Amino acid sequence: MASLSEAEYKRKYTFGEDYGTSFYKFGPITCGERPEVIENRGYFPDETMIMFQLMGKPREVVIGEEIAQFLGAREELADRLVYPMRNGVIERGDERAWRVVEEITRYGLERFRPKADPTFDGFFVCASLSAVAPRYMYERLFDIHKRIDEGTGLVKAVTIIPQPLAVAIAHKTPTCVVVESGHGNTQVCPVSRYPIRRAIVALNRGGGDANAITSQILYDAGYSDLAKEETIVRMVKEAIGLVPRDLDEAIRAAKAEPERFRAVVKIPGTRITIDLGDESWARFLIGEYVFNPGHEIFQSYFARGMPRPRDVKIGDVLFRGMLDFGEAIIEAVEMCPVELQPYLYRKVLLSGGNFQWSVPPELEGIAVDSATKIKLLLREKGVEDVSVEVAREPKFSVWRGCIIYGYAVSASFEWSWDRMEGWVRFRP
Amino acid sequence: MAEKLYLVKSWFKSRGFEPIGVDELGLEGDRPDMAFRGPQGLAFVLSVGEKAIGNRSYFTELVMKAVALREKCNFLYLAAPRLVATVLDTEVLRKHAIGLLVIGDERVIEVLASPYKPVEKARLVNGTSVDADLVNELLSRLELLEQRIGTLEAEITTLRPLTVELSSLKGLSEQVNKLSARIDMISRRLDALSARIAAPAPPTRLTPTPSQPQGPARPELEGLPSFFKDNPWLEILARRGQDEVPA
Repeated sequence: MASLSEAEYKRKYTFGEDYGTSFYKFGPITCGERPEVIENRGYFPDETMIMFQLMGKPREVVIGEEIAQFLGAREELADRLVYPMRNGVIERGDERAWRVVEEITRYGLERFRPKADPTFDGFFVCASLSAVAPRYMYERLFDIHKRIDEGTGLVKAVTIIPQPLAVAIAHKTPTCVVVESGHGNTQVCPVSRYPIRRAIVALNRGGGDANAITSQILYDAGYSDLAKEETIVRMVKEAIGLVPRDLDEAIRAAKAEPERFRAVVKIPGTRITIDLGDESWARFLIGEYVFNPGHEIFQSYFARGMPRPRDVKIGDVLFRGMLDFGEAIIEAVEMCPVELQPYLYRKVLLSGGNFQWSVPPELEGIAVDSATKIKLLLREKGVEDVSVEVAREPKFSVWRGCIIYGYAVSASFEWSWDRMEGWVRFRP
Repeated sequence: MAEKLYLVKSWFKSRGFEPIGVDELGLEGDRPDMAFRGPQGLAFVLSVGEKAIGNRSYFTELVMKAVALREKCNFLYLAAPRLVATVLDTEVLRKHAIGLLVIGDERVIEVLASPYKPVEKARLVNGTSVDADLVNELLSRLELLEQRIGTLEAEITTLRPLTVELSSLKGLSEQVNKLSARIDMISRRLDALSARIAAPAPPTRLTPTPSQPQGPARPELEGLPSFFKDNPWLEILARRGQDEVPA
């Protein structure tokens, strides 16, 4: 960095890392609009296998495309295939999850090691974690980067920001409420130049719960064999799931005109066709369950054994099970100063794969998109004058926010545990 | 295996490398199976046969050969068919900066990248005899070097008093570094401010900042991704660590 100013250096060597629940998005500022993506998972091969005893020990943890060469029977996948960020929070003692995080981090940085650039002195790495990640996760992630730097010289400095802040940065919105909903959980985080940490509301509900009710609907429609296949359930959810403007009215309309609402899915590359027939009204349950599992119709599903989203405590954070999205936003906003609240309602940003619901043109008015549903839930509770927007390219928002943060925040700003921001520098 | 090596050639060609004859390399001892030269340097490839399955000594010898060749090229890869790749210990390869290419039916996958290493200059090969004249010449040079070191030591003794002045210069250098950091920060804030000049001024309000309408890119932000344009966070973040306190 001797011959370059900090700004010039960062134009080349700012590096973003988004540890998402399913994918790890990573890359330097020079990637442009989109980062590289690999699945956020690692495979621990069975070292007792005869093949390995004969041929030599494999690596402890395998990541990226290499995993495909090791995958064995489905029964063992649950034990050996680890998704470290499945719930956004890694337990303190979950060493296997941390091993995966270290391996994918090392992979990501090595992937972009500059070749023969004498000015390179390590990346300015800005990583992003769930807003509810406890302090020990920050400590472990700093340690991991330090260890990687000691072996490779690839990290000059590292900082960590919460994912909702990164989303707000990527969307050029300094004051807003970010609702980030992934596979396992949802975080509602007000932002006003800083994430307002004391006002974060976490929900123990995400895309995985929509899969659960889709599975139950398939079971009820006579497809009990397919209801167990996670991939098929997810495809069905994405193909037929709808968010109703009003669930009771939508069900009435669908039962009155079953052909208009009929849900048929052909699974590509197979002979499987799923037809819900007269049960097609149930497609509205999928979307409603994501936004509002408290509707009375779901009681019968809980009574028949479908697990009810429960309140759970992970680390120091309570993840609420049954709170609807409207209540969650109001609860988060009302923990902020009264003067700020109207400005927060003026921009609610929805981010994450769990908000990607489409509306077929012929069902407009009965089915709605995520932004409209949130507005309706807030209006029911007396909150008007709300602007809700679904994040564009939500998959890359967090990485983009990391790149801007890493570029703009001065390298001389040292990490502060009180403020939870700044740089941890490994070299001057 | 041999019939699939054209896939390896295509893989290297797609990255700007051209094949060169192994004989042209002028190597003594171990030689690679294929060699390529490109703008980034010299790359060697050793192919792994199916013997690697069930014959550990074959694989060990291959790795030793690769290690011996590693100093003579900038990149070195083992190329293995998919079946063989499943039994290879990539940790050993990573340790010795050797990459791994897996040859599939229609394409080659870079499972493990070979990091760039500079090529070492020619060294004395083990076992080469060294004649007495050479030893004498080296000894005489050593004597001359000792004399020069003695002279330099004397000069250093005279320079020692200057170290006090140098240490005061070091303090000055630290101050220059601090100033440089401050200029960087101001430069970033200027970037951000110039990006916002194109946007209409926000209405006066108490705490929050509204989102900005899209404006034309300023020259200072040229070359940066589009999400930098008109982004009010650039200015906000440039002030981090100075005066603001989070809520």
